[in-house]
Amino acid sequence: MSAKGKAPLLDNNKVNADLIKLTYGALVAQILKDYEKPEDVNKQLEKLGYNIGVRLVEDFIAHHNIPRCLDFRQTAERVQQAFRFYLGFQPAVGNWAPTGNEFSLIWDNTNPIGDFVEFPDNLRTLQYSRVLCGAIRGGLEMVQIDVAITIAKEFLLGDQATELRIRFNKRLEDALPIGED
Amino acid sequence: MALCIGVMGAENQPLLIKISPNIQDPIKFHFMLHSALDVVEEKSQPLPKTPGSISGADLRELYLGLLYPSSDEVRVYGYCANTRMKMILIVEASNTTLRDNEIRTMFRRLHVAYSNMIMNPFYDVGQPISSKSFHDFVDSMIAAFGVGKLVNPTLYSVEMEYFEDVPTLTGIRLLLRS
Amino acid sequence: MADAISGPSYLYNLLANELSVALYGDLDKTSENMGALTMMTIKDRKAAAAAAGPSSSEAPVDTSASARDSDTVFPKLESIGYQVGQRLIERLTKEHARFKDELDRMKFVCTDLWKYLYDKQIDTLRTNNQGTYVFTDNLFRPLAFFSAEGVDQYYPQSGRFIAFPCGIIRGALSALGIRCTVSAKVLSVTCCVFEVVVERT
Repeated sequence: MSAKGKAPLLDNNKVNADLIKLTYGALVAQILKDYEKPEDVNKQLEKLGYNIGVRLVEDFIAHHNIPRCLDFRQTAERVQQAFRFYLGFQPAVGNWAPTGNEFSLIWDNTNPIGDFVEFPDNLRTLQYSRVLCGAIRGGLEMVQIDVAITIAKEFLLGDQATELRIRFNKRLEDALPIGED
Repeated sequence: MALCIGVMGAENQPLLIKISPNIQDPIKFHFMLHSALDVVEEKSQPLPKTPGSISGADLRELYLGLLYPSSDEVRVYGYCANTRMKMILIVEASNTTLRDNEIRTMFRRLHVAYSNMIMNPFYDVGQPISSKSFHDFVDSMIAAFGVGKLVNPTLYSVEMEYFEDVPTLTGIRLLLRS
Repeated sequence: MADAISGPSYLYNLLANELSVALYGDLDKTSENMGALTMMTIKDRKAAAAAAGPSSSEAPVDTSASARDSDTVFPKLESIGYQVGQRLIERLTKEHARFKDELDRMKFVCTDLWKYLYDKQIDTLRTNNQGTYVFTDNLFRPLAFFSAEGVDQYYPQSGRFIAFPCGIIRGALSALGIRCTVSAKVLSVTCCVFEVVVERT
């Protein structure tokens, strides 16, 4: 690539994924300044993720003519698809529990929103990926699925992969779809 | 062999200085880096168009090439990004196999590594670099150029005068003589 | 308009707009929040309406929160934008030729940087040649994003959406060696004007 003149800009999708990572990173740094304790920051990141997930799912459904999921495996596939659509690459789905109620999303050798993050030693309890947990939880809640999500492995803390464990709790029957009063 | 790699910030503050472990007297390289910054500043300013001045194409490049006529012992190359981040590379003059293109490539790779490193939200831009992966990368660049050879310090001596408190850019005059 | 924005762009817009919500200390009280931008469930809306009394049936535009905004949240939003702008510029100018002068840098911000952020360029760049530059964006994406969603009644609160881009511009210019202050005004529902005043030493 010549150093003279303008460089070609990257493909728009990749571009926005980088921008998302940068913005999220700067936000985490700012929240950290405000709250100082990593545990409090984690809670804020979960809520932030929830707020985003709740809106994201509508956009996802609008663009992807998908029928209602019949079982949890299909749900897992949709979540996987959503990650590809919004962040540019998808996790592997695996580690299914024998009951079929629990699965993992696994990103090998990376973290989907924190490629270049290096943790200072005093912040090892900060859950950088917590926003992903909140987003998945919020999104699934909007389609009447209640889940509990934990971070099983975190690449940024030295593990080989980033792994989110998603456990099905129950179907939510009483919430009305948004928009219907 | 790359003897020394220096990364300076926009205010000419040192962000990372790595010197080959085989060097006996690393302090000399610190001063070499600082005086090289003067030349980098000069070369990266847009020059008014005068007859015989450097052509427009050279001015627009980030790579600055050889900073001053090489001494018998070391060659000093410079690079200045648009964000005024500067990188200085000092190599042994006796290493004639290192071509200009290779030096350019080294700077480009360093720049890519630097721009990846600043994506880390926990790093404050302009502060000394503590990123392990960046340190490892620079170490590998220094090591990559052959097996470590002992640099004979008697090959060159350095005379310098500087103000007592803080060695300022203008306060250092660096003479290299064999 | 919103149809054209999807995928990662949509997520980025959501995140950028959630920034201000996230910076409020109390994300629990969704009904007291700047309701426009958080998704309120039916239960919350009914609770908010009930709390406000039978006469008001819509989410009130909270003007006291706007005052709170500018003191606490705007500077933080701006600072987040500053971080983003600073780091982004290093990536974008890596392969770019050396900039000639201040105007060259401004033009880069208006074209390449804006295209990267919002998939379009700044529509008009004006300057008084004495250090003040005015960027006009006739269809500023974050605003267009919201007007298309039918929430133009919340346009008075649009200040929140421009604090972040102001920060990006300031961070980008600072990384290019230009110290400045950046302010913005929303002229209409989708048109936004940024004023950059370069510090003269």
